[in-house]
Amino acid sequence: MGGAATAASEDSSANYYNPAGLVHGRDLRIDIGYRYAQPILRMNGRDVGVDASRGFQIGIVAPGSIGPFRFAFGASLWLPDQRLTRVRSLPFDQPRFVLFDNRTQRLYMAANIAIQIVPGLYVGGGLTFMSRTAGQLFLKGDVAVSDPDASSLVSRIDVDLVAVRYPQLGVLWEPTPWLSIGVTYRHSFVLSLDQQFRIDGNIGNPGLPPVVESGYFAARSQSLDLFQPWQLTAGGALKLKRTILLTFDLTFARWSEFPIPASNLTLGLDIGAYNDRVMLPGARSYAESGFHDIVIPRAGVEWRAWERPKMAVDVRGGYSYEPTPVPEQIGESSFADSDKHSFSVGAGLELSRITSILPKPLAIDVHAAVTYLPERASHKVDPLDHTGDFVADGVVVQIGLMMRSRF
Amino acid sequence: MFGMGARGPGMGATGVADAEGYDATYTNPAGLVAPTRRRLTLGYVHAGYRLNLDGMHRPVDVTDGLVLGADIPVPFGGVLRDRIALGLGFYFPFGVVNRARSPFPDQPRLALLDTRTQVVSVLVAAGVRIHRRVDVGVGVLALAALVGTITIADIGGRITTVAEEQLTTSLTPILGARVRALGWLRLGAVFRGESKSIYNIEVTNTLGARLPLTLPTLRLAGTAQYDPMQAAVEGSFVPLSWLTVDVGVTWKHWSAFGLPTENATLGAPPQPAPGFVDTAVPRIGAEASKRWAQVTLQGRTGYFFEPTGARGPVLLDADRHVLTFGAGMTWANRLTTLQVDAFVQWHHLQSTPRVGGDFAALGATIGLDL
Repeated sequence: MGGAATAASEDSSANYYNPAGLVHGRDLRIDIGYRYAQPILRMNGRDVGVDASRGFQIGIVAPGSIGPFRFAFGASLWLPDQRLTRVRSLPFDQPRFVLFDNRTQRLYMAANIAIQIVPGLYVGGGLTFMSRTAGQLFLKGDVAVSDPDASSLVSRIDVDLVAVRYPQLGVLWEPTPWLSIGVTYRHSFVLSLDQQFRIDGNIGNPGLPPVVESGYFAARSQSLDLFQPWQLTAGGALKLKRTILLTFDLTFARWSEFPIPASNLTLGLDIGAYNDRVMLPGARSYAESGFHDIVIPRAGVEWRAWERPKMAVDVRGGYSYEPTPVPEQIGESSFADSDKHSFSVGAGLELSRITSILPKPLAIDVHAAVTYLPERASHKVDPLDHTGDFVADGVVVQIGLMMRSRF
Repeated sequence: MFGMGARGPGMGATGVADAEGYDATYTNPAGLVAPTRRRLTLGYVHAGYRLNLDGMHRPVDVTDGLVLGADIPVPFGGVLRDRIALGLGFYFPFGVVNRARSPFPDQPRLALLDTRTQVVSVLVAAGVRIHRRVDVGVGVLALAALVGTITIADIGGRITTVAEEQLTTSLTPILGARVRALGWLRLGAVFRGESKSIYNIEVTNTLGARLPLTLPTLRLAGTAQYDPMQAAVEGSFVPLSWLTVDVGVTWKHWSAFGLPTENATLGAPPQPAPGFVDTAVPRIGAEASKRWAQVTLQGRTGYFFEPTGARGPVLLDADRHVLTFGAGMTWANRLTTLQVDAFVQWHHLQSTPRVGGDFAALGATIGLDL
């Protein structure tokens, strides 16, 4: 449904779209599915080989009540089947699709709680969990000059995967049985990579007196990889007839806070009498990324196309338009991106009371979506820029299957 | 290290034969199928350490973490009614997801205590009642492993780093069974696979033209967190209506633990054998309960002896005597049921010439039926 679900989700997807929706239903829900997305993104007509994103979606909604007070707990997990999270830092001037390159290669784990304020008004919120890496690697021993592989070094490591949590909050209001209005806020996060390493030791050849005694080489690399802007989404769901549901979302995304995705490297070296033969560069500065805020409209429709006492079929469709937050690349950086038009279709089969074991409905949903990135050209100011002018375009194809169980 | 939940940790870390709900995700997933109510539990665990190594105080990071548990009986109908349940158990240390901290291989360390609680634990399990007297369960414990590369390169006359680090999942199975042999006797057995969080980072450079020497490729690899393969059996006796006594033993395959830190280069001299040995941990725990109207109070105590698996010259540890205490309160009213539990564990290291000290852990949980 084009991702327009802020006012229309009450299954485990509410953990992402709007946590307030968790308390809307009264059934225990367990959802499990699989999703695959293949980007085909090109620069100057050549596929740049952005990795596919694929993995399992697992979610649960457990509602409860104490007298008239209703509440619900929900948890949702997107588990990539290749890795949990990939943090990558690249040279600042390396061309890349900055919003796709590594952004989908991460675990998503959210836990939420929702409560009913009064019938028809619900609020929910929770935390999403991520991690970033910070650490120090120390080595000591002897560095062999003639044959580096004969070096005798042992290591000490002190690396933390530091927890990064960001909150999400949502409100859902049903003023009438045919209209729902929702608002969701998702906070921003930055995943950085901060690593230091240092080698202390003698330099020479095994079995001979060292050429340099007690030298060192140290490096510290600080870089940014994943960034998500804070987002505010307002949405509505309109039940036109018993069989037709229309949904709309409007998202504001604060991309102007996007930090520079460059690594900052600090080097240190002491090799005694040979220090004069080494010129290490100092830290350098980079131009601002210049990203800008965007507004993303989304719309979806669901039609109950066929209904019998034990079976029903829903058909869904949607569209969203996401303007690019990336400015034209005229300087040193070469961040490729373009506006995104996403078209989605889906279908759901709902089976009711198919066996005494499953007294409540079981739904099987499939969806397919295509995101189209029209050609966008960047013209460099410097004619000697080693990337030069480039044109970016592409498509992202996505398919998914989900089984939703109610108890 | 302190167990999951607050009941078992107060009873000498027993529970293989009688733990229920999310506590059972680790202790014995077969116990998940016993409760028929949906419950959400939130808790907190803290531990402080006073340890010494070679006559010096050895600082160990304080343990502070959040416990989250969910008991979810799956309300199937028909022949599966009240026969299948899911359990979720999470332990989140405040601040870190995982910590890889290893000193140089020749530096003595507390091999099994230094950073053992600084890792997220995620447990997902299911229990199935296959017979009115027999339950079985299966669960998965997930840990994260860190692999990556860092390249320091001279690209177009500029020195920069190209880094890629990935968190991958390491999954460990937990299998359990439980039998209600007699009205006053339950028996349980559980197998837990080896649980390991590794790191493997390769550092390369292409600074040849910048430096008057070539630095070797460095591989920083080792095991950040390790729990050995284990098998435990236990009996839970109810000699009086208000008293439960658990007795069990756990075998731990510590000898499979390799070197916590590998050499960074091939030219480094081989490290001595780590000297880990298998151990058997005897446990005993007891719980007394008394009910007044809607309120039931529980008092718990227990003891276990944890012989150390680390007996090497550098990777050090000591046998531990552990005394545990706990209390619980169940308030079952017309609207819901509230369960509050707390525990304290006192770990005393049986002093050796090189290692000694004590540490204590305490925790509390509050659970609410949904």
